[in-house]
Amino acid sequence: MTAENNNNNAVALGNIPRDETMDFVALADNYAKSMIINVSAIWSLITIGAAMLHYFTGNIGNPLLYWQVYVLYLVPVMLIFILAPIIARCKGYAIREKDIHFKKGVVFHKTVSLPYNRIQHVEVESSPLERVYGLTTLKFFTAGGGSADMKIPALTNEASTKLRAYIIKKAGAKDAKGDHNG
Amino acid sequence: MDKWQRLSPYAAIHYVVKIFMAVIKNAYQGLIPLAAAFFAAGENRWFIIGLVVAGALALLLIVAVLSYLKFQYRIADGTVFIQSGVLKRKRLTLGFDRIQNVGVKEPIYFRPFGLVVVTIESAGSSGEEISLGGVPRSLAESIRAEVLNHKPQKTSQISETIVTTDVVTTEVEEIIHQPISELVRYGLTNKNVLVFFGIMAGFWGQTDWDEMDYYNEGSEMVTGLVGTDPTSIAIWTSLAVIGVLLVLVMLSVALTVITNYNYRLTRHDGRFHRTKGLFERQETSLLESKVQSIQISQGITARLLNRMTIHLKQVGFGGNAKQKRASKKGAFFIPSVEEGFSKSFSKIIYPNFNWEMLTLKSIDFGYVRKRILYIYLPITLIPMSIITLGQQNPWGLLSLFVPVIATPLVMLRRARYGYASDGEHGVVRSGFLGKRHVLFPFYKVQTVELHQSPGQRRRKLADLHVKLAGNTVKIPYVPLEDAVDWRKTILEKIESTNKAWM
Repeated sequence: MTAENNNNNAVALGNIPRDETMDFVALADNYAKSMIINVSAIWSLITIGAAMLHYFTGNIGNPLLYWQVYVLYLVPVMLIFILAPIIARCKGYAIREKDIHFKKGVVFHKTVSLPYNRIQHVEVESSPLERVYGLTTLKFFTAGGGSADMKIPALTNEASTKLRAYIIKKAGAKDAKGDHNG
Repeated sequence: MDKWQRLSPYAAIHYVVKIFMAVIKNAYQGLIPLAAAFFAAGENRWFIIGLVVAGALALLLIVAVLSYLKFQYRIADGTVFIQSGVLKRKRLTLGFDRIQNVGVKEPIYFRPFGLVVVTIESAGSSGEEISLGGVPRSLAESIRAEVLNHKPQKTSQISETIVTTDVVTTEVEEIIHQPISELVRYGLTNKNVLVFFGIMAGFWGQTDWDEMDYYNEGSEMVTGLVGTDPTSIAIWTSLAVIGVLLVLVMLSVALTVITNYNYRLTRHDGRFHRTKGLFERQETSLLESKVQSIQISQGITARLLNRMTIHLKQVGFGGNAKQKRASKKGAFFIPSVEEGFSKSFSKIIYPNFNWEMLTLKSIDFGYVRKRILYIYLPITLIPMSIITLGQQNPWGLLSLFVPVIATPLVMLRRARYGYASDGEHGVVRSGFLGKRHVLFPFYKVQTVELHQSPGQRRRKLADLHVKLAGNTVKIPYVPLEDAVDWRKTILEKIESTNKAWM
């Protein structure tokens, strides 16, 4: 799975597409899976919390109602199984000779375009769960404005290292000295 | 300048004023209980108040002197170093190439000593501002010269030659000098009046009127003067309200005139230079190439007076509200100008730009449709169905007026939007009762975003967000064709030039 994905990224990095078109590359395959696990973990924590509360305070009122409430908890978990692959499929990035693009959104589409010579610095981030899956998030910053201007989630470690090196080379030496509030 | 240095000992005055103003600004609500305590204290109120004031003054003095003692600065190797803080030590290092602006302020209490305040603003995500309160004027000038003449290591090779040719040709050129009459106009049109209302409302809400004896005394005094006849009370009340409003407007105008007194903008060496202020003369200079976009705005009252305000947007607004407020405070603007000036001024900054060549295109009618369908229709239908159908109360039908009032306003807002480009620059007009034009060169853009809802996809429309280093320009509901064209042109312009944008 990962091998196939790396291959995909390597092609995209290798032959840079023509300037007119944007050929979007999908994110890593296990992105949807990691999203499902993430959401399920949060929901199970909430459910366990509610169950503990129920256990220690005793059930006041109709116990059947509580049982239904627990079933309700399952709905978002089941929904995420359907939604996560769709969300993941809608995200993608395109690398061109002089700029990078990132698209996202299932219902409301959004495309961000960022020329390399406006990038101030690049950040690589991976949460504990992302590390289990060998995924990283790349963040790109321009001048002015506190938050990242572009955030590409779920890149395989290898793809993100390559991409980062490529973009820093393109953006010039700006990144090398790092940022003051880094 | 290589060693650590202290400010002039008179800087303690600056700290006294600064701390005092900060207390007034941030903690005026805290002073209200004090006032209440004063009225409740009874016979020895003067003694108590004297004690409190003396204590506060002593504390203020101690903090000010300590602040002066703990503040040290050093300027060396193209970098400004600062050590400050009484309880919490703070160290700051700021390279010259990150500095956006060096301003010199001359507060009235420093004039006898020939001292000034130097403010250094930096760019980037952490938008810090340093102020050196209490340095001799000559030192301030040399700091400013040193920082502003500092050449960044690379890329400026090209721009440097341009600047040097400029040096040869340009002399100090006065762009505008605003007389008091124009400043009064500006005072009538800016938002200071609203700020006053805000403060008044704050006082009103914070005070528990019933607990105060003087309120009752006051109301007795009023009824004594006016009588208890309801109509005369009503007339006097409305007169009083109008009187208060007039006083507020006059205060606002006076404040504007004081802060902008003798406003003068000159241009020299590719740099704008502005001086203003009555009690505190402020001098700010701004490198022309650091202007990211210009904003020409005209509020509703300004339209009546036929005047506009021009803002020169720079890099360096941070993410949080505090930094935004700070950058607003230091904003570089030209108050109360006529339309002709705004056009000739755009020509100064963007010589290739020509207002006459452009006709603004309007945005799609889908903008109105969406607002009405998804915002105003629910606002109308939900209360109506609950109140009229649910509670059988006919007053719920009143909410039918919401779309009647909202529709023309939304249509007005849509009509205000306009956009145009000459291939090098973009102009975006927006507004509601007033209007605002934002003018920017494409090569200064940072990122471009395209947003599309399902409805917009069906009708081939998009929202275009153009992010500059100083602000974001949004154009909703433009034809997809135009949005894609703008993106393409902007990216081409950014990628084909290596002109320094910051």
